[in-house]
Amino acid sequence: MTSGPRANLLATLAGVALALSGSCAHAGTRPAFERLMGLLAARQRGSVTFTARTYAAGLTRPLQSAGILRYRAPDHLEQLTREPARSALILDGERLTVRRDGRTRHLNLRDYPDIAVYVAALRDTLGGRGAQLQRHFAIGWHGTLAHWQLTLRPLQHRARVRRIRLTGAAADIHSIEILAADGARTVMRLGPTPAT
Amino acid sequence: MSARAIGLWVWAGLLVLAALCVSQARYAADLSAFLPRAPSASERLLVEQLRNGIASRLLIVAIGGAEANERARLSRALAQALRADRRFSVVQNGSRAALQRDAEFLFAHRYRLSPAVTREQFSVAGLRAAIGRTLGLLAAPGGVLAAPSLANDPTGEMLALLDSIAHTPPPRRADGVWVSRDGREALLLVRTRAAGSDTDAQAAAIGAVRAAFEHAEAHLHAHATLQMTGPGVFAVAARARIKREVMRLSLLSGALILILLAFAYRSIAALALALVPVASGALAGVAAVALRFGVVQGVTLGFGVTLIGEAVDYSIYLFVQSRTAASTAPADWLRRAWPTVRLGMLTSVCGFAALLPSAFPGLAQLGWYSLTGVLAAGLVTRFVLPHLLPRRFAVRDLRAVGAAAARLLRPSRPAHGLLLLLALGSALVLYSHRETLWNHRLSALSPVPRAAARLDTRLRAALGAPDGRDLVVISAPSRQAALRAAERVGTVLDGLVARGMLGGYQSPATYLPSRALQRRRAHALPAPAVLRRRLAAALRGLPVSPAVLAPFVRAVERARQGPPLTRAGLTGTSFAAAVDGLLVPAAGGWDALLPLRRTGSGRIDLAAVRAALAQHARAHATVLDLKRQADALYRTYLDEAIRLALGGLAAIAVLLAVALRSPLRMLRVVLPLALAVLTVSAGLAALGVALTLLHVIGMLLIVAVGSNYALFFARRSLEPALTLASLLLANAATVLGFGVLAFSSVPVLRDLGQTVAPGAALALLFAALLAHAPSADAPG
Repeated sequence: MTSGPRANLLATLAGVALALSGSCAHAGTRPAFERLMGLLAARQRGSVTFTARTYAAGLTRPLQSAGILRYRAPDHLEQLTREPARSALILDGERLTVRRDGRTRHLNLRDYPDIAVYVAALRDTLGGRGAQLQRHFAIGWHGTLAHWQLTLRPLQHRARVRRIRLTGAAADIHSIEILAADGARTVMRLGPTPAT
Repeated sequence: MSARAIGLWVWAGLLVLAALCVSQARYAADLSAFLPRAPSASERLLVEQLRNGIASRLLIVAIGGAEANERARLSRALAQALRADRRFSVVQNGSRAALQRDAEFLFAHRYRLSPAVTREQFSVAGLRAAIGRTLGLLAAPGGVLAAPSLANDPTGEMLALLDSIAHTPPPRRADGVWVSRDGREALLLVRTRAAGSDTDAQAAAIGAVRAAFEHAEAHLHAHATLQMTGPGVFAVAARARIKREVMRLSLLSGALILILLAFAYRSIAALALALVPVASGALAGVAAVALRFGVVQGVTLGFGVTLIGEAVDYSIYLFVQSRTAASTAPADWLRRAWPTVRLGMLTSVCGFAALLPSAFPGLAQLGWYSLTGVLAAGLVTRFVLPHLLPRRFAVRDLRAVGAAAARLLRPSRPAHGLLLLLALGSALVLYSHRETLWNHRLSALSPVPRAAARLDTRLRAALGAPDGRDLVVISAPSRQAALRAAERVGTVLDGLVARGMLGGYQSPATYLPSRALQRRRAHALPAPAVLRRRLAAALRGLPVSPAVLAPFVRAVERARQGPPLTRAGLTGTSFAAAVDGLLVPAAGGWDALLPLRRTGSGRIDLAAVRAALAQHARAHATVLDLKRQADALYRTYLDEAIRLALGGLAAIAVLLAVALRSPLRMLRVVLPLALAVLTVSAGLAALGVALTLLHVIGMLLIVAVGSNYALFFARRSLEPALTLASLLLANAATVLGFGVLAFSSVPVLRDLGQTVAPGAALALLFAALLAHAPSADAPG
């Protein structure tokens, strides 16, 4: 019905509007972030599988790993890596337990700020604690509740994390990307059946 | 010159000499009076650790009261000020900068420090396995944040090193500094250069912390509270308290005795004259201690309060008993009563002399001080005081008081029956408390208040500071030998840690390996060409290109060729202080100290540690449990005190047997004293007081002081009412002197006071009730 140029114009306008709404985190989309947090907070527990690819300088091909992520409200998180080597990262409140190479180490989260940034971001996102996230990260929101992208940038300068980016649809998280300051990067895909 | 004039001149001359000694003497008021001189080598080691070891130099500083970020800023400012102060060797507050420096040091020297550096680790298989582990770490989500850098540390040496060091869980941190468990206080760990037993230096250090804190407060416009704990803090507080108490107690008991005498004598002249033997005795006592020991302990002066009560007795006997006929009375008294007083004085001397061989300097000083003081007071009463009395000198007639008392204290069958019941009851109480009768802990003598001890425990736990309780001490002829021995012992301890028998340990060799071990590690590293070849083989099939590892090859070569790490290389890190604290010069060489940490649950089986070390470590190592062994040492001294007290009693018994020449009269003197001791110990036991060394000494003093009263009762008196009145007055003075001590907050003074005050009163009561004949010749 409509001519080509006109359709293009409409599409462009829609794109601009989308872009505006996407970048303008403080206006119309803030409620979407709050609603996402609300949805996530309503979940008491969850368990997903993950597959991850890690890219880093010096690697001739990405490293692959796979395992399970488990969450239980309010602050229990387990990351059980099954491949290529078994290891566990268990967060209980402020206590971090690391198991690998047959050794168990009990650490205080505060003493390991680098790893703390990652596990705390994950835990607080899964727990829907928006205020907590905002205290430690500059939050970027993109998309709609049905198809969102959340970017967390640590407020602390010298963090080894440059950015953590999560994508998802409503309360389902699809991917988590961790970008380190040195450019190394891990991309995780979540779900009962791993996507590509 | 008359005999009288000679006596006065000699007295005055001696007084001047004594005053000179007293003014020149050094006074110490720390806890060392009750740290025993230790005879054996391991006991010397123990006492040395308690007095001067690293644990004795620790100060923990807690900043509370303000906002969290304010506390953190104060912590940083305080740490900065103290780091610039030469008096402190370690100042740690958990700041990121310090952690960063430590981490950089560890990273720079990882191939010299890591126990994982072996030939196997750098073989093709070892390299492949280590790099594989690193890749595994990197692959797991979050790994990019925690894994070692592939280029610099592909074998994960830094992690292995951290694992070998991080035995103790680190303290909590908030706002970039260490905080207490509840997060309400910022904590700093400070170590003084001066030993914990150097109380003056500790006081200066504590003052410096306080001043720096106040300066920081003013500078930052913050208001917070400062709390400190540590052996030095305890020592300084104890000294201040002993000083304060000695002053207060001396003044108080002196004032009370003066009021008592003023009330009894109603004469200023008599009051002034009564002080002559007391002052002479006290002066002579302090001078004698200064001459014999070099240092006068503050606690000795505290005990000296008791001398007032004893020395004032002699003038009381003279004044009250010579009331009869004014002009000839003193001479008359000297003839009739002096032999009894002299015997009483000699029994006291016997009792005090028994303390002289004590291993506790405090007790030996107490014995020597009291012995010379009593002797001087007695001699002054005998040879000087009568000549100082003005003509027609007379104190108030106390005959009526004596007569009234005599009626009350008349020996009688019912009274004797009551005493028998009391003896049986006391014996029963002692028997039923026989398990809990003695306090065997050295801390029983410690003047550290319980609240301060609790604060100490809490802050130590928050910092994970070793309580310094369990310790392996290695003695070696040189620094390097000590480090090598520490490494051998460390290997054995690692085995115990792996078996869960030990939570961990600290060793100087962790941060400063011996040159021999550094050489072995350097030899385990391959040359660059060899390493490159091995890496090429090791990386086959792994997703890492060998070219990326060039920095690693360079780092290994630096470690292989570089000079050995020395103590100087540690400067600027917190490890420097750790090494200085754990590797200390000692007589004939160096001592390495390895503090042990218990596992999460319960105690360390030291016997197992000893056995393992004896079997495997070729080193001259001693395993110490400071607290238990200090207590064990104390127990031997408690036994010693009991032996000394028994020896003193035996000496008094011999003296009385010789002087009284009659077993029956001797029994009359000894029986009331024994009964008083029995009753007092039973009373203390019934009140739940566990007896300490000082109680034992107190019992000896009951006998030494009480014998004076018993002797008067054992002898026929021309003026029984006057004699009894003088005894009552003397007794009241003694009870006041010791009674004031019973309210001291310094345990050693309190224990003595609460034993002797009731004991002296009971000794008089029992002596009166057991006197050999009803005082029928008493008037009224």
